[in-house]
Amino acid sequence: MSEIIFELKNVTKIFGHHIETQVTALSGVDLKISKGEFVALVGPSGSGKSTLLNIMSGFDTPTSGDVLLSGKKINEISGTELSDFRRDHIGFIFQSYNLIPVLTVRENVEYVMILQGRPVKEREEKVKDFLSAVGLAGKEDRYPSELSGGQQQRVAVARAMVSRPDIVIADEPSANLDSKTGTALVEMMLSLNEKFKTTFIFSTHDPVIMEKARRLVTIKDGRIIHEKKNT
Amino acid sequence: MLLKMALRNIIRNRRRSLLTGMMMSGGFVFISISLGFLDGSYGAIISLFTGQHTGHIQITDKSYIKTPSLYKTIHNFETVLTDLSKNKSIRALAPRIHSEALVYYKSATFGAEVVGIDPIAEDAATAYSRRILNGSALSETSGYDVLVGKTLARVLQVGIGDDIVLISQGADGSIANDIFRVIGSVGTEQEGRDDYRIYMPLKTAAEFFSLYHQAHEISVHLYDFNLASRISDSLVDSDSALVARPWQEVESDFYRTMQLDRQGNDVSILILMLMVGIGVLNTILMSTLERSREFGVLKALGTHPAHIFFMIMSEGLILSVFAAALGSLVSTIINEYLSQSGIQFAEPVSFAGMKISEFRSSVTSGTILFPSCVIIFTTLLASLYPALKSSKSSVSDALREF
Repeated sequence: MSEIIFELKNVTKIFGHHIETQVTALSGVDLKISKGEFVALVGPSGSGKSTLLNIMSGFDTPTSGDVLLSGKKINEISGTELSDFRRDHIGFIFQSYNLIPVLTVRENVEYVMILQGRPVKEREEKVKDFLSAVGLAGKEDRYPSELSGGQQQRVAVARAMVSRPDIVIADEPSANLDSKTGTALVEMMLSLNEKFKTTFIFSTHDPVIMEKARRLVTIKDGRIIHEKKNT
Repeated sequence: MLLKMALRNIIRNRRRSLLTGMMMSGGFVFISISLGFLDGSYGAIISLFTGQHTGHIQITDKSYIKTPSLYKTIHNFETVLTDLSKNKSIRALAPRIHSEALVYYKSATFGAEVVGIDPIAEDAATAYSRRILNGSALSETSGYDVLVGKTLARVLQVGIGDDIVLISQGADGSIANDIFRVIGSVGTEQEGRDDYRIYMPLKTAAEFFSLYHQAHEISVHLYDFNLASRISDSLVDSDSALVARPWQEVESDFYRTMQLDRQGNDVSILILMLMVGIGVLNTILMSTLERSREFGVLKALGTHPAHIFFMIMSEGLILSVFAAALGSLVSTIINEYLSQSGIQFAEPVSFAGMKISEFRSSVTSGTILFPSCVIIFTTLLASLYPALKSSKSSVSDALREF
């Protein structure tokens, strides 16, 4: 059996302080993700996908339960330790691309490595490799505003993967793209997953993209109701 | 990288940054010109006020300060003058004898203040000869020639060439009386100290009052009046019978009036700081609110809150340094121009008993350094809240959809 990289143990998240206004977003979620998996999180709006991704990212803390990434309980760390842990272990792809507009493509991609204090030569090599891998070689000095939505999202993929994190978390990465570009993006993520053995977990509504996932986790009313492996 | 981002963030919204920078530079120029005028005008007023009589430092017998008297003198003042003349900060020294006398002319009698001066030293120190309204100045060979204050001359109706009689008391107990010839009248257009005075050569006064080798005060004139307080203590020994007092002490009423006027200006500067601060706070707050998602992304990627704080503060610092540089350039040009041409008043303005008909600015290190500090400090202070707020915001709130 392959190595478990991410594990959620009986995770519950309740919003609100007063009993009358409390909302249970997640209820007793258990989930294990192995190294190199390509997992899609699906479910209707308000099912708890975003809350689950927030908790997995360390942006939010569970009301109860544990979240373990590479054996570390991320719900028990905070402040700069959590920032550093996120920097070194998690890559993010956002729905709205969220590139830093004042940085060029090259600078956006190398930003996390600068935070990690990696040497210039290593940064240059990796930026070159990953921009080639996402098909953006030659566009290093462009600013995000000079790129199309699909190109920006590919820069975001390169940024998420360049520091070789344990897991890449993506929240509806194709939601702002047309269906063809969206499918191409997920296929590219899949090829990178196969090439670099990087674990991916992403949420989506798109049935075409769901088919690309190796594993589908369906969530409804804050509970995982179904899991399926695509062959 | 963070500094690079800070700089690009400023350039990113050029119009807003330009407007904010111009507001800061405008504040800088206003403060700088205000200070330039303050320094220039006060400098001119102080020079005028101290230059006519008091000097920048006065040396007297310690007991003379509280109760001036004919007998409380500086003995062997020539030796004191020789010692003082070695000090390179001193431009001129004017020894004086002060006393009172009754003046007789024809059937008129009036009380007058008699001042014995060394004509050459006094002219070097106070340029008293420029205040001679008619007639000629005293010289070392003047003997019993005197200059009469303009009001006293009018009251007694004396003119050039007239003989007047002075009656007083000598320091040895004798009756001092003699005939003196009026060779001119002295005074300024405004009312002043000269009006009821009679000036005579120091040697003649010493003889008249039996004060040989004695003087009541030595007026010390420096090259830079700003040094008066610092230098005064070093001019006489602490165990000496003499005391050296800077002009701020001698003319304490005048000094207090000036200080009050300066405090009024400090309030103006404080209001301006507040206005600039609110403007900067508004701009930086808007700019950070617009970028709250960006800060969320930066934090998600692993940027420490302290780095976000540093980046926003750097933006404020860079903007204020540029604004200060621009403000320095503009205000130096304006201050330099105003120091040459000045601003003429339609009607003279009265200040501390003096009439001032123009304001001139001055260019000093203070007209650049102080506004620079004010603008940079105000900007950093105004940036503090947006920087803290942005650095402490939660990632999930900032990103929302994630």
